Amino acid sequence: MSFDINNFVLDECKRVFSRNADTGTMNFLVSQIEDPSIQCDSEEIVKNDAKGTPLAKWSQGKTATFSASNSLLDFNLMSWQFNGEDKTIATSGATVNAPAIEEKTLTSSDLLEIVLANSVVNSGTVSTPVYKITVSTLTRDGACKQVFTQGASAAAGVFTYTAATKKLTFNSGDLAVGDKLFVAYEYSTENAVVLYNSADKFASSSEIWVEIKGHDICSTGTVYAGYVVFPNATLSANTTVSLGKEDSFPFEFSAAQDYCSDNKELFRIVVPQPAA
Amino acid sequence: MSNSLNATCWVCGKKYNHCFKCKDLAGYRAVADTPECYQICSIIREYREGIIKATEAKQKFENIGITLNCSFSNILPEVVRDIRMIIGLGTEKTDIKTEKIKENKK
Repeated sequence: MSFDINNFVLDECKRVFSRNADTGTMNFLVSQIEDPSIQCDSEEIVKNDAKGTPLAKWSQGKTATFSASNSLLDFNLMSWQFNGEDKTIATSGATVNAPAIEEKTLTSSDLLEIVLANSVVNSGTVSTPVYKITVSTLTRDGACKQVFTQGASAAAGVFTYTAATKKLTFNSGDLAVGDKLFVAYEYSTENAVVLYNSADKFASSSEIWVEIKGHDICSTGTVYAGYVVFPNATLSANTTVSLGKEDSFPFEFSAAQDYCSDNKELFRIVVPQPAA
Repeated sequence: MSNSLNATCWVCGKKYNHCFKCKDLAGYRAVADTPECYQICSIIREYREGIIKATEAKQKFENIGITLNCSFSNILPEVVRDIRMIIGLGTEKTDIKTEKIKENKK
């Protein structure tokens, strides 16, 4: 007898993953799914009589949109949401600029010179280097106290930067023992991950699988794995990246029909027979 | 590009306009308002970075007409202080070297 079930109890939406529809190469995979749902809509056309009473109805323009949240900030998912590409992983051959913030409570040996942990990125040219460095002292509650600017020579409120030694030099009397110094800059590194949200890049379509798990109504020990397959889905770039401790990260994708399929499906739900 | 005076020359302290995104165009304006100020800034930077020695820096200052006898009226006091210090160091080293050569000749 062929395998046939009509209903089962849904336990969880286990994971969602996207792959290249042609090659099968993985784009992203998220497994901390919250509040998954598929919204199915269609446009209804109604023919009324002279009194406005419906005579006939037709449906057209079917759509399906999957939405959920991931409990964790997933860089692969976000990168495909924003730019339709993999996140950028820096390498020795392709370094990236990473921000650095150094905070230091000054001792008597720090009043004239501070050595930074990293070399500041040169945002100018080789012949005219420009090192963008933000320097200020902080109040006890962490607010900005005195702002310093960079110059050719150290003076009151002016510091110099020596790239060869990564050294900031201050004027005598500008800094005092116990001051908290704040320094912000960018440095080049081969050990960083970057996630871009570019104004001119968007998600492209991919095949997305939603894996669900459930069990038989009569037998809790009989577990079913089901798959909702969207052959031609496009992630939406509309999302809210909430940065609270307890927040999760919403994502949604809309299905377009698989035009070359006989079934013209927006999605299909497949439940195979569990392995014996 | 706006014409606001958004930059301050590191050498003379004058305000000027500079587009910090157009680094390929007149790159010197990232730090100085004129090529003359930029030359001074560049010599000080090269000395501080260890690219040139005090004697070479002194010579470069001389090449653009800057010696201890200059008025320095248009240059920020702290920059004047560093120029004088570098020229002073360059002069001392030159004199010691010259004296040593003279002594060796004797």
